[in-house]
Amino acid sequence: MKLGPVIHQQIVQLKWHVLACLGLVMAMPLEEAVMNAWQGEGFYAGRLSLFIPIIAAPLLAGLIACANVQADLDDKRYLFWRSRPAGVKTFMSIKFLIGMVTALIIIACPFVFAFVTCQIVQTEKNEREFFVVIAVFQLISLLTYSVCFFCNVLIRKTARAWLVGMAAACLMMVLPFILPFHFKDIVGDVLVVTSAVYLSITIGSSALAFALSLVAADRNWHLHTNLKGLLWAGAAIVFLLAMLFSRQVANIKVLDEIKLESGWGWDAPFYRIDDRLYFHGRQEIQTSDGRIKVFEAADWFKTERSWTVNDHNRPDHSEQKLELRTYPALHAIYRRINGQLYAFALHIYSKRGMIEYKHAYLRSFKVLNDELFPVSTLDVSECLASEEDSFNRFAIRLIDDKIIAFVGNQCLSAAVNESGEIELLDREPLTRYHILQKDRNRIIQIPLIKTDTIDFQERIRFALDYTYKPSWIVGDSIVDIHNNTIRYYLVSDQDVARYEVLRWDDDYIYCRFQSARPFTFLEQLDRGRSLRLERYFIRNGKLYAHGMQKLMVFDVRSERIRKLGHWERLTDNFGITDMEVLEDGNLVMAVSTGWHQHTDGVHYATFTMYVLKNPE
Amino acid sequence: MTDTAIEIKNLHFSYGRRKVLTGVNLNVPKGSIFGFLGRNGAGKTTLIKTLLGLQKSSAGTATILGMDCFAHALEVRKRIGYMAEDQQMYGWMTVGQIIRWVGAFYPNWDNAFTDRLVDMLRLSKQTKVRALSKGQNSSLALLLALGHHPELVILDDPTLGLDPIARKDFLRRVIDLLQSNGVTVFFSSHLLYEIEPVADHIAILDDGVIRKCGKTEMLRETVRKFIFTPKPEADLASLPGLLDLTVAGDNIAVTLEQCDAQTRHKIRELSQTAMEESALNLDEIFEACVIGNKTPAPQPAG
Repeated sequence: MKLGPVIHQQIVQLKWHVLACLGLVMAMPLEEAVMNAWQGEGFYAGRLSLFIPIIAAPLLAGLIACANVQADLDDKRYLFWRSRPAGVKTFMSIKFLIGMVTALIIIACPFVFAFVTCQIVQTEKNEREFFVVIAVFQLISLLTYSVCFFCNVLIRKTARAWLVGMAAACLMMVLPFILPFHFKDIVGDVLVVTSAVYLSITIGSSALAFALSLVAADRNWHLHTNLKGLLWAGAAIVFLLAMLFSRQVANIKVLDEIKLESGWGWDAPFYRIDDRLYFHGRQEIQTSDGRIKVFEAADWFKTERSWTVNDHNRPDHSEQKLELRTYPALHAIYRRINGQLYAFALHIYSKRGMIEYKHAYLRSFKVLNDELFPVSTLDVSECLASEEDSFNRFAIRLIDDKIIAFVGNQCLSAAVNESGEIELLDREPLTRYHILQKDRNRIIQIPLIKTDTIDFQERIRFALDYTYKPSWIVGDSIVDIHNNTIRYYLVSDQDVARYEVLRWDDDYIYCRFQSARPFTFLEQLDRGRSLRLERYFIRNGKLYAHGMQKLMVFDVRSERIRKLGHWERLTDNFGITDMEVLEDGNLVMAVSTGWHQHTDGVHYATFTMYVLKNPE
Repeated sequence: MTDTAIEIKNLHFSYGRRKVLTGVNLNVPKGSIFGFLGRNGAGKTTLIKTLLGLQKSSAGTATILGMDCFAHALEVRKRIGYMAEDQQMYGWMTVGQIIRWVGAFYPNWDNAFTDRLVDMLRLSKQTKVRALSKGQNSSLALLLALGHHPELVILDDPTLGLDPIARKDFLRRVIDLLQSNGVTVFFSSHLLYEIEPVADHIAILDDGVIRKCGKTEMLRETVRKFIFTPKPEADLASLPGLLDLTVAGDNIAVTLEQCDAQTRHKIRELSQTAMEESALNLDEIFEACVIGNKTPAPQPAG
């Protein structure tokens, strides 16, 4: 087969389509350039005029593909050239390539025109942006071209093939974005909508469509369609997608909500004290059957903050004008022992405005008649690092009847007896930190705390939690221990990553990245506002992660991390301040909703407390 | 070297569950003009598409010039010329462009020959294809089928849509061009009077089955019609080779194939009434083969 006349035929055949498409995409840029020249700004086309070419490019590419195919695959014309000794694959390949190059050149024209004229007039010089836009729309157009080409080889009716092709191409482009479907969450570590993967999907789909076109033309596959059936099928697919889409964007069910006011400011966390849940230092929260009730908290709770600082600020420290820091911050750790409620805290005194630690105490208090009474004080100031050695770490966690605390450069273990008194058990130096390496392919080495007073799993949990999330050490954990497997989870802007503890020795825990559940395009869309995470933790095999405007719940015990649900509200004056998992499995979430000025002139922060159904 | 241009053995073809060709056997001798008759929808075009290697048969074999039609489709197409019914070409091309374009597919395309054909067929190279009349369109299609000196030309209802004058003109040209060169012509049509004067072999395809196949003269000689007046008492429906049995008033006519002296003797034995024997033209033979009654029509009561 002589290629010259065949190529010439294909080019001439597209002549009028090319001119029509070129006119369509160049009209706006040319008009803008002329208008700019008219107004004395120079002959150039800016970004504005590229809007229509951007929208039209993929549509036109599909149209060119259909017109290109139809010219040769119309039933009788198909027989005309197929009855010649023409290699159908060669013929169709030439046709595909010429049409594709033509379409891509047409689509590039307005961008190149805008780029060149901007360069000449020296305005809007953003070369990278121009090339990125060209590349992106060339890719999308390549996909629509290829898919429409294939559809017309099959259907052989231009309008229907174009409709089906565009729908299929849209589906291919949209599907990775709307995945995972809410009920399955099939996105795993395989599919991640990064530019590289999206590039692969686009080029891969185009190549597949091209290959299928050759096979379909060679075997003369002909799909007989009727317009009504196609429209119904299209409507059914759109409906199905809309349902899946809506399931994905649907919020977790709200069981109840209540509005509150507080004069204590908007930073309003929950406190779990014994078996009760308190909010913002003022209200006690009670829930039953998904309904929420709020009561005024006991007086001692409301005043505990000032009491901690003032009443137990020892005089000598006060004279030295020392500043007190408490761990955990603001409140203490509460535990009921033999029916009596006790509070535990680590108090650190430092010079005001300086990072120079002077004293450290582990303290316990008894809660009686809504007041706190000191029970015991353990002076652990010796653990503080010297001024030369600035390695100081502070953390406290109550595990069963043991307090594990980081004080200075030491890890302390203390027993809590039945009277709420604290007794030091052992003290081991802390291993100095290594900078955490971010290469997921490498084994991660994390220092293990050295105490024999708690079991290995809790030692590992404490070490991992402190390494990654030291400020959440009191109540939250990022570690999930299940079926003798220890895993921990890190949530970033990009994904939820799962790491597995491989082994440990006396000094270190050795971990390895296992898999990740990437955030989908939709989940990342509002990342700037809502996904910037405030807090995440594992509770009973579920990972809860929330930002200011979004809560997400993941199942972490399945083979692949699956999203179970989310709750999101993209409105102004809306910020999630804290959340907790309730005893009945439901979730309670506190949301700051702004300020309100009373008639007395005082400003109150307003909150809404939600009870959400925990997704399964 | 084989003396057969087309050899088809037990060919079957189906579109899904619908059987289009059932056990077709056919031999087209080299140098012959082979008339391939059949009603619309009988399966003629399907058989031709199979011969061109455009579709694969469900069973059986088909060879053209000794080559398997499907396995060596490109080689086969290089050596044959094909003209489809109601040939549709690229309207935007000129006659010259389409000749050049089609010529690109054939290694042995003869430009000088096609130039002569352009003159002979009274075509203009500058004319757009869409501006050609139906007759000119057929002439161009014929030119494009012959430009590479094919050994076999397949014409699939080539005169479809032409008026009677244009049809005769076209056929005359076909005969002029092909007969003297020893080219085998496989001529498919449903118009019998078109085939009769030119075809030296005939095959009749009906409902996917070859009903009759042989030399044209042989068919004319062996297929006979007998008219009995009045109707004989004997059961004529049991006659061997019965193609058609028609009762008209007091007369009864039977059409028989393979009618030889022995058949005639048997007929005389069965019937004591007056009998008239006549030869049939191709049209009547085709009618008897395709829509012939094999049982007498029921007589009205009384």
